[in-house]
Amino acid sequence: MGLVVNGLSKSFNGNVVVKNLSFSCEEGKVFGLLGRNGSGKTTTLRMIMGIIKRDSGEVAWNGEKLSRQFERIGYLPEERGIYIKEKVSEQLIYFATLKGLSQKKAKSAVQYWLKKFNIEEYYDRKVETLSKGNQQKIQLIVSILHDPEIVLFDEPFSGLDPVNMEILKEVINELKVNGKCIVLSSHLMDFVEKYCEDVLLLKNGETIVSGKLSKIKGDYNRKNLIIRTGEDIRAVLDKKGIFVSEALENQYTAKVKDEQEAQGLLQQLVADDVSILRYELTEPTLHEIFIEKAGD
Amino acid sequence: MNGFMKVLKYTYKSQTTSKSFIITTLIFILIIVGMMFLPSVIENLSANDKQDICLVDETGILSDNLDGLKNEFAESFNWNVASKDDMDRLIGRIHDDSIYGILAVTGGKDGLPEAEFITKRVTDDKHIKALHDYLQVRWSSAVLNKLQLSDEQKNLLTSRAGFKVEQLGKSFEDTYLLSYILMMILFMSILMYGSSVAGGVGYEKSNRVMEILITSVKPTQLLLGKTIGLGLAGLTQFFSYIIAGCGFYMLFKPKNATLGDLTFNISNINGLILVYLVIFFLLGYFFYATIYAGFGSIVSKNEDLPVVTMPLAMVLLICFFITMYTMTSPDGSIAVIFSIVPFSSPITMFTRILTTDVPLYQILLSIFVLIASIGIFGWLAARIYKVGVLLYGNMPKLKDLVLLVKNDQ
Repeated sequence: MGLVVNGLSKSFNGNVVVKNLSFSCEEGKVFGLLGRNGSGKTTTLRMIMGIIKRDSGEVAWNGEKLSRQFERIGYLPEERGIYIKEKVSEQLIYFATLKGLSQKKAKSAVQYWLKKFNIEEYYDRKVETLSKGNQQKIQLIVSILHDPEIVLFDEPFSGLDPVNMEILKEVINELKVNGKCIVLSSHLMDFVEKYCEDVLLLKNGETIVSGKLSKIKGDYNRKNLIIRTGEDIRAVLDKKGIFVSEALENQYTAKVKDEQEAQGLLQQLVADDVSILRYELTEPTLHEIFIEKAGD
Repeated sequence: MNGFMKVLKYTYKSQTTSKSFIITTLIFILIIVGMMFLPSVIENLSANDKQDICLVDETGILSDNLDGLKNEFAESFNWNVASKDDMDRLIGRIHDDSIYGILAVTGGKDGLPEAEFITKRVTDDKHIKALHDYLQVRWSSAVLNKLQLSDEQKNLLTSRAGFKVEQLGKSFEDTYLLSYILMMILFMSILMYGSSVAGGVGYEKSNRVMEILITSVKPTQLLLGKTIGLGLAGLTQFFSYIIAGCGFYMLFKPKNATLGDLTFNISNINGLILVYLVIFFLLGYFFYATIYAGFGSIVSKNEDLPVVTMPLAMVLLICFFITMYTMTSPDGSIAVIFSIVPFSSPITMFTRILTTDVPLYQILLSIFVLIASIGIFGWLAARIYKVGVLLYGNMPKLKDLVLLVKNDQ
């Protein structure tokens, strides 16, 4: 059954920040929450966690109402939320025991995850001595070290260098394979495209698109066509009303409405006996969809 | 072990191992030990300081028996004899502090000596009185000899009526210094630890670690765990002061010292006093800590914290001054009232116990009122805390806060 979010809404001082938001995420799936800065992603995640009181809506986990102190949930806040002046190991163990782990289990979990993120040597260090990226890693460990069933990540990749990003991608994949339900907000479109089956795009608190990523791409009313011909076919393209974004030495990057439009062009060119050197029809990238739908 | 105990353990451990805690404890122990020994050190120093003093005696009443004069004041004065012509020069020497004073004796009617003591420092009246007394003794002796009385008559004339003073209860001079110091320690500990609770809450909120905490334990457990954890740390500090103080006292047994008329009598501190100190520290701490926690939970930026904690600190300071005022009349009605009112009672009642005999029913009433107040204010603070910890942004106005708390149930 998984996580079911239904009709979440929130206003601050009369401003609607999140409007009637609904989605669901099953075990073993990664759900992508997308949107520009300030679109309501963090507020949504906070409402699911119970940190912000929702104006309306329900959140259920496996059919039951999700309680704020539910132990099997992990949360990575957008801003740093750890004790700066205390030792890494001590507070990690503390947070883990608060979530129900025994002292012994917490200790071994801390050691496991520090090793996984390549920061074993910081076991006894104070958090303030770590770099920003390493502090982010500590924050990540806080959210997963108690082996939660649900994980909410708010911009987990921010502050990580490419190497650490790869480590995190592996970790998320591992969690997914282990049957966890993961909801994350991110700006990394290529990551979301690769790992998320379902996404939701927010704009000013409203849901612009949501659902299976493949369906969203399929429904998108434009496909990318790259065509390279032996001669100039500008006139043909213009006559057919096909929008060309780039034309360089007979290679044209165009946007077609659907496959039929592309096929129609192809047939025309064949009929006109134009030599075709390259013909590539691709789905729109999430990046493109995002910019168009979430932009002003 | 439920959430409350986990929070308590962690709070206690991280507080007692923090650098600032250890340093503060050591500094206070040094201060306490220093205060025990300092008065006797000062006394020793000043006892060896004999002052230079000049005698200008026209009558001979003192200058005829210089050895007797020097013996009488062997510990305090170095005597120099001078003549009347030197007066101007000698007065100059008083001004530049090279001599303490001049005792000028002239003859008056019927040989009655008139003495004048010229000095810059009249406040040292212990010595001045001694000089007067000595002169009087010599004069009486001279008169007795002139009258040619028998020994029996001389004895009768010089006999003094008996006059004993019996002090009931505790004397002001005996207890003032000690009470002042202990009262200061109590006041400062309550202020320090109470405000550190607000500081801790504010830190967790501005740091966002609060988001991790309240999604792991219930807010009430968090509040209690932090407050009691910090309280226990404060108690640990207190006990280390007491142990260190007693330890040093047993080992070195510093003398009781005097500062003017007031004595610093360490032996006045018995076990019962320490018990009361601990009781009133705990009660005072918990009373103020719960209020501090409630106030601290409303702010979300560290800069706003002084805004809410200052009023409380002011209240504590006012209670401090009230207690100072009542120390001179610890049985007066103001003292009694403020030793029951929960805001001031920890400090005021404790001070009254030191300076006077307080009836047991009053002590029990004070403790009972404090416990009840802690319950009431604690309940209120918990309601505010539950709502406050999730409030971010600007500080809420009072009516908004009241609405939020009401709607929370």
